[in-house]
Amino acid sequence: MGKLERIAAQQDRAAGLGPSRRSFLLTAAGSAFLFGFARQGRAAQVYPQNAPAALKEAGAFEPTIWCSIAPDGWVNVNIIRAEMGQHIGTALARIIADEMEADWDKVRITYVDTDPKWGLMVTGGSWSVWMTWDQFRQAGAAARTVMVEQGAKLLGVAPAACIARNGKVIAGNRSISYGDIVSRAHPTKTYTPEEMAKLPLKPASEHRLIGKDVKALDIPSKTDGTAIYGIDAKLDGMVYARPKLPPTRYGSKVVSVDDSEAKKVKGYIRYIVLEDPSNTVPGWVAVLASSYPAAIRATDALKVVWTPGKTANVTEQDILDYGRKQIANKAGGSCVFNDPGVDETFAKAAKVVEQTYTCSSVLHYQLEPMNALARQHEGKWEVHCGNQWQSLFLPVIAKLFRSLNPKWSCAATCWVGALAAA
Amino acid sequence: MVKFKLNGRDVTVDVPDDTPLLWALRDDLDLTGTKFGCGVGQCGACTVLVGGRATRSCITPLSSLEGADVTTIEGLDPNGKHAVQEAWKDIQVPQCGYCQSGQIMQAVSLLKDYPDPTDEEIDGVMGGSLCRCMTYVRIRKAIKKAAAALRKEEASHG
Repeated sequence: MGKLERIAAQQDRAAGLGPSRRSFLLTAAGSAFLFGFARQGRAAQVYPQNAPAALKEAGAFEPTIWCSIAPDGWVNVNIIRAEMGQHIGTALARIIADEMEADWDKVRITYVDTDPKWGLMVTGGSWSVWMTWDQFRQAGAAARTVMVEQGAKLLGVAPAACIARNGKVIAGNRSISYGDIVSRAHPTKTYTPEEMAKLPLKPASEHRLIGKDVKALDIPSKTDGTAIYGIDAKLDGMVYARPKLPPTRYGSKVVSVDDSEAKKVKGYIRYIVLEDPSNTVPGWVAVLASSYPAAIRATDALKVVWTPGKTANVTEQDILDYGRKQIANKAGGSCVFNDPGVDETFAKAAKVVEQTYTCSSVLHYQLEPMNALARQHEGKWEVHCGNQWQSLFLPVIAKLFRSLNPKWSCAATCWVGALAAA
Repeated sequence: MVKFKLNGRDVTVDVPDDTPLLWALRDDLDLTGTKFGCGVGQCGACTVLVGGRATRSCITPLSSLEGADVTTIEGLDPNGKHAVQEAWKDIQVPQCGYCQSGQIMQAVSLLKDYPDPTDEEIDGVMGGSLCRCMTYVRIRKAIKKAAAALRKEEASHG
């Protein structure tokens, strides 16, 4: 749990409130809607093999789970945050690279899977850098410490006679690169979090990457078409599904479906009225087709009649009026932050200025259409999609898969791909 | 069955004639650099060059492309080093990057018509290419940088 969450949770407990009042944050999760299942078909696959285990090069030195140094000198930094336009991979890699004195031109980043070892996976609230700062500086210090120890040995000098700089250990006019240290000394030392916390860190005056203008690591692939987004993932034989959305977010029930027009679309396969025990997508009808454009067209052509949920006739004015009612009711609404003493201070104030600010409902519309790719692989379901809060999303889809077949292992994974925009 | 030139090579696609070029590129020709945004020609993410002109591939049916010359982001330069791409990297234009293939293709087309574009000309031509990250200021700067590089190239060849 992050610091902000802990503070908020303490406030909740102090005020005798459960965690539910922050539930408005939860609505962003769990509505991935382009699923792919097995289909006989074409060749080229684009499937992110981005688990560090798959990427780890032979002979790479991995002092912590956060980074590794390969025999060719390339430093890999594992990123558990979602890349969505903020260059978070670059920001975090820079912390490790600076502390370990890496050569920035030989640093790359890997967006990881959802292995529990990564801890809480959520990207938001401007938390990523400050919540990772201590951990990544310590991880960088661990790598640097081993490089200096082993480099000194190879150079035949005491570690105290060496400095680390730009991917090298230097003693006087002699030096050895991190890559050579890894390939010749084969270091295997690993650090526990407790050991890492004791390592000396560089003073701020010695920062060579932090606070400096560096080239973002994710930019070149975003100028030549090679960057792979969630929507670019592809499997042999996959089918495409697109949802027909009900008139209300919750509570709509499908009365009838007419696919006579959809059947005229070449590539249309069938529709499925989704039964979702997680209640994430109630009332959705999935339209399956052999290609993405066929799924779009067939979905447009499909006719569904619903019994709408009770919010069907709620207007924008109703929402604003409801908000005003909550403000007027001292016991109503959502308390986001409990600051004791506010009421007393207002009661004693000589002058009180009151103002109401309103915000209309807007669609949070990212440029990359929402999408996900799912497959059953080696007894597990895997889901790949751009996702900002994997720790929240994973239990939702796990529940769904288990409901389909209790025997299914449901350690689904999410691909932390570049999301369209925050 | 439609035959056209794609990034300098002859290709034949065997999908329904009314399939938008976008999907033939992404799903049949495995060039995923061209992006699906709105699907109705309003956002610019799917922009490619057809006969050198910026074209929204999501609303361009294959049937209209028989014999045409199509260039995608992957084919702009063999090493990804077209002057516009270089300027994009120098100025660090992309953020999430999803719209950027389309932005770059639109900019390449713009610079053919306006080798030394003003802000108004850039805004006028680029206005149909949306960016949720708001990279517009850097896009404008990068276009001017690329324009200068292209004029220099032209002068040294000329």
